[in-house]
Amino acid sequence: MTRSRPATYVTPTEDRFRALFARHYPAVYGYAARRVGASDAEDVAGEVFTIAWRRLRSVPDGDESLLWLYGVARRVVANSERARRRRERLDALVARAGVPVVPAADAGGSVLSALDDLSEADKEILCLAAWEGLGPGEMGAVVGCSANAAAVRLHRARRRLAEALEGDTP
Amino acid sequence: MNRDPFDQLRDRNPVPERELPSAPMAQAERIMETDRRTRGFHRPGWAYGIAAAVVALVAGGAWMLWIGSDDQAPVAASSTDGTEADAQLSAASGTTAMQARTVVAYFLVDQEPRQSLIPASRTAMGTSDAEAAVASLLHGPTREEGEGEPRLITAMPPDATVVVGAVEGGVAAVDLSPWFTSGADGAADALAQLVFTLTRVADVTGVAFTVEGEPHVVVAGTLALVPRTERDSHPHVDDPATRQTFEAALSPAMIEDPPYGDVLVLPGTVTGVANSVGNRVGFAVTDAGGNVLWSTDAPAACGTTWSECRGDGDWSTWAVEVPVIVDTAQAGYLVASAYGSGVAVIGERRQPVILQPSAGVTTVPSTPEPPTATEVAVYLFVEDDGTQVAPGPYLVPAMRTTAVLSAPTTDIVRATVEFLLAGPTPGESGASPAVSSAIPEGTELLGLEVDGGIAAIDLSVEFVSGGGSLSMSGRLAQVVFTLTQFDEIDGVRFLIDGVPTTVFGGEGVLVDDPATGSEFEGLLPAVFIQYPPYGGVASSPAVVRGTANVFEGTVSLALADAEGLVLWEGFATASCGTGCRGGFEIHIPYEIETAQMGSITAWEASAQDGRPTNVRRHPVWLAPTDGSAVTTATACSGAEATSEAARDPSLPAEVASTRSRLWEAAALCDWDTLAGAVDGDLSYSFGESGDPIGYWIGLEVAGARPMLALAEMLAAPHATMDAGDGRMIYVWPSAASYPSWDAVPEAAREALRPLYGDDAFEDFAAFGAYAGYRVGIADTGEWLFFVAGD
Repeated sequence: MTRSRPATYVTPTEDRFRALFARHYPAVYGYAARRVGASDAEDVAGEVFTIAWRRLRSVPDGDESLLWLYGVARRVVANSERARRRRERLDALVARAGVPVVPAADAGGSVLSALDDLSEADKEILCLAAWEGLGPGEMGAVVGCSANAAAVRLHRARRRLAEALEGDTP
Repeated sequence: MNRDPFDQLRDRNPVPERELPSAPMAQAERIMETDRRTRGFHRPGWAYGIAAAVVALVAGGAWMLWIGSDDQAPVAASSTDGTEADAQLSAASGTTAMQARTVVAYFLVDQEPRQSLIPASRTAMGTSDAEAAVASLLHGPTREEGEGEPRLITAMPPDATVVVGAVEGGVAAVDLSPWFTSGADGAADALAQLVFTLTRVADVTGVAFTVEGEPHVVVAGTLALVPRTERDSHPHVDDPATRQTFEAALSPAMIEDPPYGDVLVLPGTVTGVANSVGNRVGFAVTDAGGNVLWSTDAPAACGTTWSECRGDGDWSTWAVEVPVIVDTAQAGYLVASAYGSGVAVIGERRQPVILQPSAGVTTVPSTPEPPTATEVAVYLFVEDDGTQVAPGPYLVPAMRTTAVLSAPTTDIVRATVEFLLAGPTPGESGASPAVSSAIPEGTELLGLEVDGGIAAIDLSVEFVSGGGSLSMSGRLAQVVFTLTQFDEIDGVRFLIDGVPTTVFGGEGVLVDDPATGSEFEGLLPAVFIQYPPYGGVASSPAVVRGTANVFEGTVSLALADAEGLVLWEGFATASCGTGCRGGFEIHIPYEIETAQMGSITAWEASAQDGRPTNVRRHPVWLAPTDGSAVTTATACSGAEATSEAARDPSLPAEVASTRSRLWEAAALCDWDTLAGAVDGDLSYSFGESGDPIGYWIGLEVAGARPMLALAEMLAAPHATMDAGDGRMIYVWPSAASYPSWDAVPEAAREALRPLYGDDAFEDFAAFGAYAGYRVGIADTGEWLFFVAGD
């Protein structure tokens, strides 16, 4: 029923993982840092690559591998956000303070505060385009829709960003 | 500020490319190594889709961890292509499905008088409770626990390997890495953690250790782990090791239940063990600030689950009924104290707890009791979607709820048959692939009696009209599967117009008397999801059950949210496979914040190339994870209406009266008043007929919020239209009266805002006209319509 661990490992697989890690870690770290800040970015990137290691065979080859990693990172970030919010609720409960968590105030009228007013979906598509510099087909691969749909979503998000910016500017 | 906002955004990249760090390659090595250790085996790509599960699970406040069972872990180190051995994942005998399990792991806490064991509850994945519990233990305390008060720590070193084997005769087999025999600091504590964790699992009383396969025993007293071959050189060894072996790792006062940080539903019971003079323990419940809410001095009974009473002052068990009642859930502490001689406290255990009111004690709900709904399945047919190996169509259970009936039903079996005869809903028949019924329209239920496990069903002659032999056996199968879902029905006897019948139609389809589901197995898809039904409701963990006849019994499953994002992906093992149909069941945990229509997909990975074949997909209503609302049955969306139906002097008195009556009824989901306002001619839906109240209740249950729409629309500005029969019709919202969307003035558009946003406006523009909800009242005060769409 019990079995000890063999001493040799599958090296080609490991080499592939090392190559993937070396090539894309900076970009994945950047993606995470832009969304959750530098302090948590390492954790997110580590988690993304842990998942990549476990699912190495479903990671596509070539340039698509980065899009795959972005897609995973997106879910990891979403989940860590949820966990963070829950932790804040719990902290408030334990402290019996009932103090609502106020998001850090940004300078009013800046494009970043306008960005914050948008829906998560709009935000993500804008950031992928502006910060990761992805094209429609690439964005579609990350968020799971067609290139066409991604282009339309970006168009609408850009319009809403402009509206939000106008609304913010006194 | 005049530049394009998108360009501004581009320039505000918080982490521009030039600031990105280079890849810390040591971390890559750590990832590979850590993963080997925590999962007890060493290969990547172990099971397709596991990582998706990990993504979905790590967020949990009670975190979850996935670990493979040793029985299933493929070990084929000689292979070099990284693709080996997934086929070895077929079930070994005695293993059950990988699922989320609630287990308890024992960590360490530094409290007077010594560092001692403390239980903490976990939800973890595993094929057995023992495996899930050890996985939790290896993972260590959570961040909250590690920073909590008191702080939890673990003696398990980060590179320990623990592989859980079978449990036989109450003894769990565990294989350890050599660290445990190295005499290292904390090795005894780590063994104590392991033994207490495993013996908390039901039916496990002892642990038999091996180190890299060689049997080992624990030396009593020193708690060293030595090879079994050396047992004779030690005065006393424990083989297997039990809780008694590691008693010294306990605090004189220990709380076993509820574990650290867990929920205590009040009033409720707290249990523990103690080594307290006089067999008494002190016990208190405090609030988060340490103020004592209640305290007592409780008796302890000498003797424990691991040892009989060995005399005065021995280990004892205690239980305290806590009569405290709280209004809302709140954080607090449980405190247990053990006494020395006199009242000197020799040990104190203090641990956080969430004090929660029990359901029966909470405040009375302010809304009226909703009708209690029963969910049943009716069996319909779904078209082949092109992935099936054998041609379809196939039987599919579809969800029906009695919530849609305006009057409560006492005969659930009869109501279910009526649902079946009514056929698919418009949504189902319009779905892709389409859902249909082989039962001819017009078939009536003439009689239904259930006696001695047999349902005798009398159907009108329409039932046997038309269709070929496939259609005929199909409709028989629909009736048989639908009726035999009830526990009290094992078989079905058919009567047509009062005549007992076993041969059907010109094709001569024969059925047994009574007929059972096994006759119709050929109509089941290779992978058959029985529960949740098509369009059913699930709450986390989603229970998925069905039967399958697939390669090696391995059923692949995925749970996706409304956007199609995969929340969970993994597999279940059917009790029989490769040419025989076996049952499977799996509990899929998920986390979503709002209720939504997701989907459960089950398929067979092709034995040739792993492609999905025999795919079955059920849309499923997913209840949110954090909300207490498990179903939406209690919802009344009208209560969310933000706009009041202000007095409108331009309305005739009859119209104004009907309008205010409807608004109030909608805001309260007052079905009786609405029913009173319904005239036979009310148009309430395209394609539905019969009972508008039931239809709306059904929509409310499904989360479509019709009462909110009714209330908000009635509060919007109105328009008048000529009915063409001399009557005037007052229509809400005014936007509905314009021939095109472009013609709708801005003010009329803005009045739609409570219900519709920019996206909907774009849809209306694309459609060419307002296509949302509208309400119509005639100048006589008669309610004419409440419909969605143009």
